[in-house]
Amino acid sequence: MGYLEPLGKKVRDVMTRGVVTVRFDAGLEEVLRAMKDNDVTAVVAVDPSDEAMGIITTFDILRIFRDHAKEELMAMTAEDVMTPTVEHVNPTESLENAARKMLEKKIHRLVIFSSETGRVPVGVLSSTDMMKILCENLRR
Amino acid sequence: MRPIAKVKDWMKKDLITVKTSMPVPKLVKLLNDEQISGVIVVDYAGDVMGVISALDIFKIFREERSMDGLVAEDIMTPYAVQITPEDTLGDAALVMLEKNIHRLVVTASINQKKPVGIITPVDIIAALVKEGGY
Repeated sequence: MGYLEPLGKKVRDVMTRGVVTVRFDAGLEEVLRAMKDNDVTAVVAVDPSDEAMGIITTFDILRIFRDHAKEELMAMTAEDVMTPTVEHVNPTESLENAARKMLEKKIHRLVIFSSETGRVPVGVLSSTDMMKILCENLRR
Repeated sequence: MRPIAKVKDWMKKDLITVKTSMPVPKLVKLLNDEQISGVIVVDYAGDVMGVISALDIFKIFREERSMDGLVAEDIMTPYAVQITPEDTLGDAALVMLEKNIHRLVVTASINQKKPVGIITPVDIIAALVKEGGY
């Protein structure tokens, strides 16, 4: 996947730093507000030490609205809604690896965990972020 | 979700479409310039033929093919879902979940293939929050 390797760029060169998080015990309303206020399509659910426990996407929200009655929704927390597997990459990984992971899992977004912070998320890499690198390479 | 919430009230009408003949390098530039993760592919008559997301582009590289000479039609995912402005948001949400697709192209009627809008989970969630579905 040579197109993704111009000038030896890594995940850290294109990732978006910072990530929108909610506490695992946040109510559904707070989760929705976090998405809306930050204009993002996913938030990471974290434990009290800020380590990632799961990810909540707009798809997860649609699913719980389909599967639960309104009264049940009122009592739900981030932990009930999240997908407990957080697909991630390291800042020092190649963009090629990141693209392979997105394709394999059919997802457009990877959470970044760094070796210094363990499972505390430090950023997000989206497929849109990676388009920038492809474009730079096309111009060369 | 209130049954009266219709797709037409919440869909986005500013669509970015490309022709089946658009060269892939140009398409990559468009996705980047517009900061979007996908586009609708239409034929010469303006009928929806497929959709392309960033992942379809990564696939080219995984297969170690060159972008040169490829056009939109070569890499698009054919689009066969039917959703119209008169469908409810509940219908749209069910289709998204069943087919595992995030972007539904809305056409004027089931016999019509010209795109008139696009609806995503974000639009449905906005409606849920605003209309008190939650």
